[in-house]
Amino acid sequence: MAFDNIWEKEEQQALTKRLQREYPAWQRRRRMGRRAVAAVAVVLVAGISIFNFQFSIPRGYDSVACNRSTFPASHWAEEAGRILTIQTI
Amino acid sequence: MKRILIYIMLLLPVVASAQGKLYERYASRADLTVAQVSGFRLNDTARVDVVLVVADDAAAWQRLARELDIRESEGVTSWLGAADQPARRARWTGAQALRVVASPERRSVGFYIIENEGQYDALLDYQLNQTVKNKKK
Repeated sequence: MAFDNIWEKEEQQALTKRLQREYPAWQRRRRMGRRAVAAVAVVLVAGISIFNFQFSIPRGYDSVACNRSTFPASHWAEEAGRILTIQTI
Repeated sequence: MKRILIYIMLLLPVVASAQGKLYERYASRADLTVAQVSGFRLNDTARVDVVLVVADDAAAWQRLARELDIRESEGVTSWLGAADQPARRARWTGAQALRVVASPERRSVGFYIIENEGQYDALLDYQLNQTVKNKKK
């Protein structure tokens, strides 16, 4: 009986020690996991929002082709409007 | 190789269209940057195709200006050109035409391809309204 008690006590102490040793690391991992999930969710929501915004606004042009890749498509669309409107009257 | 094929596929509709001829005419020249804007929005209903030609340097601009007979040295000049010969000033006859807008300051020329009267009116309205707006600023 006494032997059992000692055994249980030792086991209990070992368990406590192990818990004290491993719990912070486990907690840290859990926290990091939560953060990672949150970050992925934020990126996903932001991406979907930007994608929707990009395609919801009516564009000033359908498509652009250029013989050089000097500027983005939007530059040429703006230029098409700008050159028409800088005339002095 | 794959990338080249993709570029060719992207350029095919441009080259195949009637407007593509204009693009083709200038795109092969090393001293010019050419961009084709399809469906440039003038108002809620009218859109036009535009070919923009930008000279890289003063010498290239001189050559382009000579070709297109751009005499004015300052400001923006515009005229209605024949569809096949941009430099030839033409009257609106109901057929396809070009509104040619040249800016020596920016060394650029814009060819606005007009196919109907709605586009023609919308283009003139756009030019006038936006210019007035710009002047008020």
